[in-house]
Amino acid sequence: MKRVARRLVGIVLLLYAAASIVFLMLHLIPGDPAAVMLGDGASREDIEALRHQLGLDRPLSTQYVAWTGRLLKGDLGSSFATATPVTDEILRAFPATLELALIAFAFSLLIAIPTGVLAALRSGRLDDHALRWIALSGVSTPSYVSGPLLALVFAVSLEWFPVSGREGPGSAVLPALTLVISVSSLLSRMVRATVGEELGRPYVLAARARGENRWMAALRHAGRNALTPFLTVAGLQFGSLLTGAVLTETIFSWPGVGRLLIQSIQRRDYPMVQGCVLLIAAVYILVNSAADVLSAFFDPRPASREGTH
Amino acid sequence: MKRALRVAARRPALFVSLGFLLFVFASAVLSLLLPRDWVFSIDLARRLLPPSPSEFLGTDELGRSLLYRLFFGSSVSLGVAAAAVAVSSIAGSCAGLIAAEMRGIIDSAVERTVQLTLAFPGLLLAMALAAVLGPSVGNTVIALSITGWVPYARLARAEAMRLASRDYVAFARASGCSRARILIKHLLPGAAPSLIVQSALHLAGAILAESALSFLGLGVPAPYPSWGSMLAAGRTHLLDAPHLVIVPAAAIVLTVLAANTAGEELLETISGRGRTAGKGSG
Repeated sequence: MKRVARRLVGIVLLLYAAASIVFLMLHLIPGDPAAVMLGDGASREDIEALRHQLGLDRPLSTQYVAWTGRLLKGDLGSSFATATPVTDEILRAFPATLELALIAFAFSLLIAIPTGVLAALRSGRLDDHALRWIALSGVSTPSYVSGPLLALVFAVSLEWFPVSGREGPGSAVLPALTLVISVSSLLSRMVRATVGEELGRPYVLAARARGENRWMAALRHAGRNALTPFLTVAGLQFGSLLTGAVLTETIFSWPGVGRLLIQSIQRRDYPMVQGCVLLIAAVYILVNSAADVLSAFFDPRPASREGTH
Repeated sequence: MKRALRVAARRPALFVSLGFLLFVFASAVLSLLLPRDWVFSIDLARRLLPPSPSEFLGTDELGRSLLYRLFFGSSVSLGVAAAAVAVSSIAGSCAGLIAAEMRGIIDSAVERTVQLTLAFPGLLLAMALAAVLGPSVGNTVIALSITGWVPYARLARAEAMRLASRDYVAFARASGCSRARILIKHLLPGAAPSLIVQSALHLAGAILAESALSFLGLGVPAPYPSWGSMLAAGRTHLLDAPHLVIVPAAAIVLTVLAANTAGEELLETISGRGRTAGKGSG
């Protein structure tokens, strides 16, 4: 119980630290943020008015306290471009990002687990080598390479799926496939490494000696113990799916948080940039913490070790 | 030399990937000698030409030779990536080694900073920083290094912690070696193999990250060609000139694949040696 409480406090502190970094972001802009936002040709009065509106004319500590207070109420300011509240716009874009990430993650797991276990069982054989090369090529192919090429083949030449946008069930296929290529490759490599390590352990040998076949031994015994390290990496990967979605959403004009972030950067809409970065970072922290808690649930070993200290 | 040849014979993939990286780095350095006109001068009459014997890789949307752009782009992409690897590896290794040697407050300060940096997805932090600082070569290196140092620090710290209890380090300490000397002469060489593997894998990641930033318009600004920005510019001509996408895409994938393969093969070479040593002692 104490451990859970300590972890929760840790998560809250981490979220707060992330929020503070996002706050400081605005103050990293070289020169006057108000002048940078308004661009060249802005009048002195306009700049002063914006400085006042943003509270930039007040001391940094006052601004920080005020920002924290508004953040707790869920108020992230309003967009410069559309004048709508940042929170509203981000929450409107988030379901699209989540949909894409969940589809991509589910298919990545469906591909990564069987191929990873197969590669571990056939370690050193031809099929293991082939799978490793495919996975390494997948890891080396970023979404801004696979995305346009997939669009060229499946949207432009074959016209099976739309080139961009989020209309109809077919529209998610190409952006999801783009994400699946790199994420499934990474996860498959991870499964191969963790399961492979467990397969060499004496208890797997014992299970095989009792007459279990290789697949059963791999799944029932090695698979269970490989689950803990796998969960941690899977959590990290799901988090980076959200960042990867920035590129994929931009390529396929998918109306999610990632595209909103890039559009806001281009428009110098800094409150919106802050909001998007904060949301992605918060989801990333929460997913990784959830993966930690889950792996502690499946494998109590690290917990008991911590208890003896 | 003989040993290097033996390793090369046993690991052809390592040999080929290192050779390819060497070739790309050499062409990146040589490309700096190209006349700037060949890379930058615009000729709209010759725009979007397909690859042909006279124009080897065709021309881009402004009539510039794609071959020379790709060639010069290698110096931009690899230069930024290599600079980020250099800054990250030096800063990270120093932080990790010093944390392990000094322990106490310095160690926990490094550990906290590592934890905080890991709380952000790396590319997101780089994008946010590049967006705020503005696109430039220097800012791209900063944005990539701000997260890049973390794995080096963790590796160096773990290796130095492991070695610190060894007899030879205790002997050096007892015979009056200074802390700096122990760090450089006794702990750093032990940590070096895993740091070298990490820097090969990091090079792959840094090329990908630089290309991602430039693809989004947050990295190296025009008119300098980076493989990422060439890809972004070519994307609008996917229909009429697909070579504008395929050529820089191939350059990115092949170079990253070579760096990843080199890192992986080096890791296996090292851990293979470690395993036999472990067997011998057990």
